Amino acid sequence: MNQAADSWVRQHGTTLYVSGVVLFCGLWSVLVYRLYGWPSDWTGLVVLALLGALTWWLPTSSDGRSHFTADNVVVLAAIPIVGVLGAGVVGLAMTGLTTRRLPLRRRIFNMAMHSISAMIGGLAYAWAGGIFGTALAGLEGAGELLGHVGLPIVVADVVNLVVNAVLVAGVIRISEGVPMRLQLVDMFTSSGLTQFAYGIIAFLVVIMWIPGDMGPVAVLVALAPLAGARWALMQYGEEREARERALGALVAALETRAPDLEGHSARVSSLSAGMAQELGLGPKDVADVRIAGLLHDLGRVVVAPGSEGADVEEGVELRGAAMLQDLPFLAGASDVMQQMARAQSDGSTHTLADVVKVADDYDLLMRGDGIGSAEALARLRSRTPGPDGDRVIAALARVVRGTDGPVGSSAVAQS
Amino acid sequence: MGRTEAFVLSLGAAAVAWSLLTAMPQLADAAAAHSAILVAFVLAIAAGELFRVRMPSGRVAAPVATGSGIALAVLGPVHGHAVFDVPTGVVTLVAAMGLALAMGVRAFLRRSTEWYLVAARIVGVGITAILMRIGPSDSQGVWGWQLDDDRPAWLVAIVMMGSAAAGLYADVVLTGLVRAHRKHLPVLATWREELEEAQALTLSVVAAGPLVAFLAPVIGLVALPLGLLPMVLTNVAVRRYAANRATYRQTIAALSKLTEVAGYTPAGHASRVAARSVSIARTIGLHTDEIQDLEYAALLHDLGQVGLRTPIPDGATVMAAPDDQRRIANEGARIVRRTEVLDRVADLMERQTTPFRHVREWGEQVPMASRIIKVANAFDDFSHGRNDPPSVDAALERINLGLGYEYDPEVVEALVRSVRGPGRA
Repeated sequence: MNQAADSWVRQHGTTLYVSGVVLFCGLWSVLVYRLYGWPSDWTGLVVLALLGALTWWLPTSSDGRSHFTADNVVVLAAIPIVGVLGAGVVGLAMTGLTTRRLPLRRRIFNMAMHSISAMIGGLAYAWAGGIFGTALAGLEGAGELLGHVGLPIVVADVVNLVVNAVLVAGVIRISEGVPMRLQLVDMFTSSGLTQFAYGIIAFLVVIMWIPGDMGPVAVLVALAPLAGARWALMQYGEEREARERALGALVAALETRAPDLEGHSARVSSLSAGMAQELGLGPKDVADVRIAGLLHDLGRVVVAPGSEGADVEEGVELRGAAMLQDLPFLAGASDVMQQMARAQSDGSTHTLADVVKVADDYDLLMRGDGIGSAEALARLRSRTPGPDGDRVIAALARVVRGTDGPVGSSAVAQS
Repeated sequence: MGRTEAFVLSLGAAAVAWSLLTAMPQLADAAAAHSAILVAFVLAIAAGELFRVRMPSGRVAAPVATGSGIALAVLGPVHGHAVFDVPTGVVTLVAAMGLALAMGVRAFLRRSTEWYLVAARIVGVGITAILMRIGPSDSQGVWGWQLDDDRPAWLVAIVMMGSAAAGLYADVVLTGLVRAHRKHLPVLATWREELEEAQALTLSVVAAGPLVAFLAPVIGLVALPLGLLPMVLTNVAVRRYAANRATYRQTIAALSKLTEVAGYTPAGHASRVAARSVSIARTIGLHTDEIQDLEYAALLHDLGQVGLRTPIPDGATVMAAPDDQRRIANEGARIVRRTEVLDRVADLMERQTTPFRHVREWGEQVPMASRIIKVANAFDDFSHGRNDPPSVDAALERINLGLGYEYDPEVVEALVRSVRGPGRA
């Protein structure tokens, strides 16, 4: 019964959710129209929508967790320049005009989401004492501008982020089953400084556009200095991904030495990460167990040919962990592997190490002994007693139940 | 200190001396009329210079300091203050004071000072200030366009950015000259490397000055921290990028150590071959991207040995049969291809065993980087990783025996220069 319900939610839930968001967007537009009327500056609105769309055409720079897209600056700047409803239209239009290939449902969701977050951000701007349109021309000096534009824009920025994050976390919860709490923590912790910067840059655009009488050139003057930060962030993102993928070569080297382990590391990595998410662990812990799962057998390759028999005594995990010690970004994974080695020698328990160990044992039972999933889980239950063990096995059972087909083929790509 | 460095320092000193001579009469008036602005810029330039970033190419940049200097050179009206109408000499002297203050703090904190960087920055700011103050607009030059409401904002922005770019490129050219001289690198290749790497950073710094200048008439001196915010973000992002590049390299290095830890190859062999390969490539003048791929390929050139059931004695592939060499290279390339991001590196690894005669006689396409790895690997195998003169001589003699047949003469010549130092080939 539960499985049937899960399946129905996965199949139709996303469509219903997107429809709800679109409806919500329409209702908000009516409410905002009633409160503030039509946008006063249609030319500015068109220019901002086009500039916003142009920023979508640029490749997105990312450090893997936080993204830098100038469209956020345009939406925030639109609030004081063209009003609350205008900002909603800018958010809607610029997302709709993007040339990025997106499935229709996702494009519609993005349009509605950006429009809603821009309008709710606009209401927050007004609530914080923000001034709109031509009235801005009368402001003079740092005090007035910061008080009536700068601070309200930062408030709008925060509200914009929260609305955006909640709507995105909702759709991911329904379509992929990732808990909303995890998604929200990840989004809030990853976009702190960048999001604050969007607000400041938007403030600069606004004060140059209207009080400075520069008009649309203000957007270009304010965004050009960000080219360097954007470039560095793009390089960072690309190399970060390359660095993660380079770990795949360690696995390939391991499988060259031990061909019977082909695919095992990737499956353990995927299972471990899924179990960590099921257990509600934070993003860093999930990443650590994913890498530890991928590299837990690394110690096997760092043994001279003919000395493989010494594996058990020295501890495969300990040797593997030693290999990773020089890599600061793998310190967490190295710790997990050391905990696995300690657990083997003194019987101590660590949740992260238990997760990888259980995933490892499960895969070996399934592939090596050729037994079914239910029997493998039953054997693991008897091997891993205690409440912690029960939690870990229960997480494994949920991951296995939620996985269609063989586990692990996408583990490296996900990592 | 080399002649090039002395030349750059002299240019900086000459710029300061000229500024003192020409601006001395107005200096006291400027200090009295614009004291708050001058103090703010001295502090901003000094703070920016304290937070330098080292780019992956080795170039040292200080985006906040440079952006502040350019902002000072183009600054006009400031809300709540008198119009910042000062001669070029005052701008240059204020920049020099900020930089000197930073140098004092750096020396106190025992951080590297590198005065040639300061000299190049002073010259760059001076050039921007001069260019802004010449041209058709009474005696004020294009700087005066800021006071003319009829001039379109985009035109003023372009003029400011053009002046800023000229000053910044002068800075990059001068520092590149010193770096090339210090590292014994070809000057043109160093400039090309710095200019290519710094393109986005240059645009960013060039635009920061005009941003401050456009904000200042509206919001006053607060424009300085607000307008420099993108530079601060740039600084943070470039630091993260440089640190990440280092960890990426560490990952490759960890991979390269697999064969050493497992006892297939002698300790330090991969890193020595990589360092020697990079040195040869720089001597030849290879492009930055090629050098990076070369370094990774050199670090991983023996990775294929992990598939061997019986290790080669001392891991010296140069002593192995050609078929075995090829098999090891292909196995290593296969492993590296699994990453899907190191295909170019895998290509270099695959071709590292091809003898030079295939290029000479059959016109086979073998990348220069692969030829370099072949020579660097042979040098390390023959010298057993030692750098005492008898070992080096013996290794070079063995390599010379295969000159033109096994090894590319151009690469061997670069190896000799790299081993013995320039001028002793």
